[in-house]
Amino acid sequence: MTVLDAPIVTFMLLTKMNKKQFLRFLLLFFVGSLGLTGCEPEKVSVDIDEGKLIGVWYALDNTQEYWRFNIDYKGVTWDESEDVQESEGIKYNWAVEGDQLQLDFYGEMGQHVYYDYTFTAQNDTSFTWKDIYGNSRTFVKK
Amino acid sequence: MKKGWKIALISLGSLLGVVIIVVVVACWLIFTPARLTAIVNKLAGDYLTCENHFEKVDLTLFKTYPNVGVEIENVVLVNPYRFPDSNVLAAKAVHDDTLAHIGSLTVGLDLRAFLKERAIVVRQLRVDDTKANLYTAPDGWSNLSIFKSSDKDTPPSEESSGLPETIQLEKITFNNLNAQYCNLQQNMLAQVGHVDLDLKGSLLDSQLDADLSMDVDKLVVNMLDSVGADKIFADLDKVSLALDGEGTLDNLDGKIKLTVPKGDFVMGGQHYTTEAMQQSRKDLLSVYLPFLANLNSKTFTLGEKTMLSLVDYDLGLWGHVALADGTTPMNVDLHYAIDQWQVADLLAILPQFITKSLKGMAVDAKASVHGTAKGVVADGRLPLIDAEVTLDKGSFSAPKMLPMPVKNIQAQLSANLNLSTDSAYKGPSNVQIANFSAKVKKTDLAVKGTVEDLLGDMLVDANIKGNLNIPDLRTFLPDTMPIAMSGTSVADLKVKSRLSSLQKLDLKKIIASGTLKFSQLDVIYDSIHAVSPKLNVAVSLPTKKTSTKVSELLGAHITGGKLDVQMANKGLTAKVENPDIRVGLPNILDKKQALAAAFNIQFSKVEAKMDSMLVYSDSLRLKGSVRNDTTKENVIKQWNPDLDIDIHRGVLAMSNMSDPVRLTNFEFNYKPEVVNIAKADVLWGVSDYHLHGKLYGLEDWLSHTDMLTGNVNFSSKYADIDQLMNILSGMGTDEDTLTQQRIEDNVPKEANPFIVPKDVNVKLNTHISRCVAFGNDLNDLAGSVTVNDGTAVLDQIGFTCKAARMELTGVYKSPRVNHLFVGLDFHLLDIQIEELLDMIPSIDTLVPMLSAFEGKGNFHLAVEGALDAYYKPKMSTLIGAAAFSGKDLVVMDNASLAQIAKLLQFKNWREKDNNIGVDSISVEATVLRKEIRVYPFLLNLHNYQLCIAGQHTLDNMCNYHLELLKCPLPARLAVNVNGNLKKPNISLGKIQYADLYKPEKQSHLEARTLEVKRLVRQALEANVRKQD
Repeated sequence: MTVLDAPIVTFMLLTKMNKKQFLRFLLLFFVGSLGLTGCEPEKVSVDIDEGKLIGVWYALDNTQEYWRFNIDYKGVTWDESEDVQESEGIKYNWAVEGDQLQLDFYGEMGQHVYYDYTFTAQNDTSFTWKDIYGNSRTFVKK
Repeated sequence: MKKGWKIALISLGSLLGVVIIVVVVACWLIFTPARLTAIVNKLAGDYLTCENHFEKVDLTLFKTYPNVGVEIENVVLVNPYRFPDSNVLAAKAVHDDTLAHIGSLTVGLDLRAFLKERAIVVRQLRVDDTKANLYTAPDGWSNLSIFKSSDKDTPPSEESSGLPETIQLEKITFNNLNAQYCNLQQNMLAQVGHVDLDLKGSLLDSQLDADLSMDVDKLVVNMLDSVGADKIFADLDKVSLALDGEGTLDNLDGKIKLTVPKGDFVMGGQHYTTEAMQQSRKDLLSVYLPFLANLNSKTFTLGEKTMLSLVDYDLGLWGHVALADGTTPMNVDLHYAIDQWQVADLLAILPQFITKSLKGMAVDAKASVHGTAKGVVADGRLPLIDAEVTLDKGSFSAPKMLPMPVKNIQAQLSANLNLSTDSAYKGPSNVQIANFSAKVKKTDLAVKGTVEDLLGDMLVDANIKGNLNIPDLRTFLPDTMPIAMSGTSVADLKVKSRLSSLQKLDLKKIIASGTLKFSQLDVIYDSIHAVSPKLNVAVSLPTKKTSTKVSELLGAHITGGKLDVQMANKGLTAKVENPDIRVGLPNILDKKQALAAAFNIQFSKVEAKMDSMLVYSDSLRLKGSVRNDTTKENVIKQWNPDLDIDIHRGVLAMSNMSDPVRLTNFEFNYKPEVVNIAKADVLWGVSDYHLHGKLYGLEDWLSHTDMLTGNVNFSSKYADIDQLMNILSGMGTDEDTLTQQRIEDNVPKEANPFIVPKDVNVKLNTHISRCVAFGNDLNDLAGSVTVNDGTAVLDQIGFTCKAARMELTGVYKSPRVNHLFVGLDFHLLDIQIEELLDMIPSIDTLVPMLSAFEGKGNFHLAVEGALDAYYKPKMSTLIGAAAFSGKDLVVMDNASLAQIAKLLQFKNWREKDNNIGVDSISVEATVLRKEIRVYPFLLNLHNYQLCIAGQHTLDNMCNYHLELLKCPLPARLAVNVNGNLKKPNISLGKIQYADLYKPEKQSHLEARTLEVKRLVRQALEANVRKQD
């Protein structure tokens, strides 16, 4: 046993691991450390023009799903494929911070649901966002 | 005869003849016509002022035998006058200056009395061929004023008067007398033509013997009133009068016979004689009047055979008459009798002005009248008249008034009349109706009573009884009315009223009461069919009952055994038992007064069916009032009801209701402004409901002008909320609107979602011991349910279910049939997790890892979304947030957890009992559309601390991350859970939350994540109701 073995032995005693288990833990530790440091997502920076957001947009993957962004930072989204009209849609407050779009959906029962999206593209007729799980959606101006 | 006597008699007769011849010759020689004429003319000139002429005066023996007669021929008296201009009577009268022209005037004198007693006794007077013209001017001057006035200072002596000393007329005869009497001062004109009068008799020493016979060919009398209109006009032909009297002046026995065969009589412009009277074979008027008179005291006794006859109609008359004498007025004590007059025949000959009120009517009866007339006849005073009237076999028909003739009229009436006009002698005139009966088809009527103040404003007090045949009443109703009736009724009515009140139908001054007892009543009106074997109706005017709401005047009380009603076109049948209906009405004929009614209606049993609906009650009571206001729009406002309704042991069943509704007690008061539910105990299926409270504005709500508001306490030991919602669905929205909405939303009929009542703002304060709602059993539910204009809000409902104390605020809106909003603010406090999942399985979807725990915690949920008409969620509208916190939980062992624990190298993390203990947990999650996000939360497992976060979709695709923050090892491990939640892929993942709970190191994103997590919980917990 070397000096370096002392903490190892102490750790094994504390955790009541045997050697085999310790080796497996060690392997996982390294793998985990690599995972922590080796997979940072690539950051795409987009200059967002709030003014271009104002209007009604429909989702490219569901052309009956609409999103309206009003100039007063309020909005509403509705899906006509389910016989929902604009006045019956989900209302939200919106804000843009950098390339982040923060949506504060709110209901009549007092609940709030907060979603953040990252803009990955924007022009006069369309924009694309990506959710925190990396799912992208594109919207086209109506 | 012996020859000697014969010779003597012949000799005596010859001697008497010679004496007579000598006397006649002597008279002829001494009292020659010329001499007598000259004497008379001279005397006439001494006595008369008018022009006069006596053509020839002669003596006669033969015309006046056995008296000596003086015969004067062609007596002419002329006294000129002039009618005033423009006088109606003068225009009708014959103008002649000759006062009288007598063809022959013969006076018979008693020669013996003259010779023996030097008395001039007139025995006979005969006047032939006379024309007389008497005139009195308006100023009182008369052409009869032809005698010179005597010396005022020296009263004329009997001797100097030249008149006979004694008048003992035995015979007066007028032949062919024609006369006119025109009195313009009294506006009277009388003319007689060809009058023959023969009066025989004597008045000697108060012994009167008179026999008068008079025939008048023509008698015309015309009297005018002060303005010149006809007052009386009589034009009579062939008038015959015979008077026979004998006895002393104080005991004269006689009789009068008067006949007027034809004639015309007009009074006040009305013709009292008619063509029918003229054409009768009988005399127009005849009078037979035997009498016993005391001329000194001017009293007469009319014999029982006295008869006045008008054509065929005889009036018997007898009794005593005392004429006015000085200060003593005329007095009568008469009896009269009319026997069996046929009224129809009498009416046929009576003048039209008398019968015009009977126009369009046919009246008949055999009428008998007898009675008395007693009392003084003077100015303003008339005798009291009693009459006993009997009517038999009478009939009355007036199609315009009565659709059916009245037959078998029998009546016995007693009348007492006081016809005096002098207020000092005025008195009541009454009629006692001893009996009046009649028959109308099969209906019998009988009347008894009195009529007071007969000549004034009659006061009728009558008792009317009848056996009514109900079908007979049908004819009194318009033909166009679709009604048929059968049954009978016994009527007993009492009426007391002035005639004027009856004529004006002044109900305030009419007293009436009575009963109508119907038997086997069967009435069909249009599509309504009512049947009652026995029904009693009592009416009263004025009613004894009083109401503060209605000024009751008319009262009706209806009682009976059973009453069945059917309405064929509505499919309605109703049966009630022991109806007890009291109705009070104000003066319904007073147009200034609003129509109103107060009522108290009770039924011991009610059973009604309408289509598939059945209503039953052991006891129904309806008490209140209504007041009509025609200016209002809807029916309820127009009647302004104030009702107390009590229903006991009632049942309401409908085909579309699985269970009947039982109203054990139902008491409420309805007023225009408020409906006060005092008590409503309802059983429906296994549910019981108890309500009390108030509703406001029902009338405005029904007229769609305002909302229905209210506050009702609602309690129940057990309630089926789903069942209630089915019933209340769509209330306040008419069927057409709902149908239109279905069309617009393209919703088929089989979809039948709950439509929240519109225009309603009612708050239900609930206390329910147990209930089932959406398939869940709930206990001790308390809170308010507000239905507000299409939105139902379960506000701060607090209750405990099997698992927890619970608070629920729910919102349900139905803006469209295919878009139903549901929102919940749901708090389960001190909840057993397994019970929570059992009660709300969808929570497992929202927080899937919750099913891995056991123990108690607090759960908060705020979620909303829309449903379609089939209650299928519209996921695009779903938005919610949930939070769960618990302590000392146990993690349920399962394969996934074991796999995760294995990956994370968990050692010794189980308790001694092999359970997995969790010190605390605090989870927040949100749902947006199909995505559920679980915010990072910490899980302390013995020596380990895990951070869990992630998201999954409602189709069970997940993406979770579990990261070990604390463990005995100096390493950071994490696993990812991906794929289908039911069979996830679990693998090692990257470390993400190393600095999440280290404020000094956390990133902006991590800080926001925790802030969002805090905000979500804060918003949810803010809605928890504070415990008292």
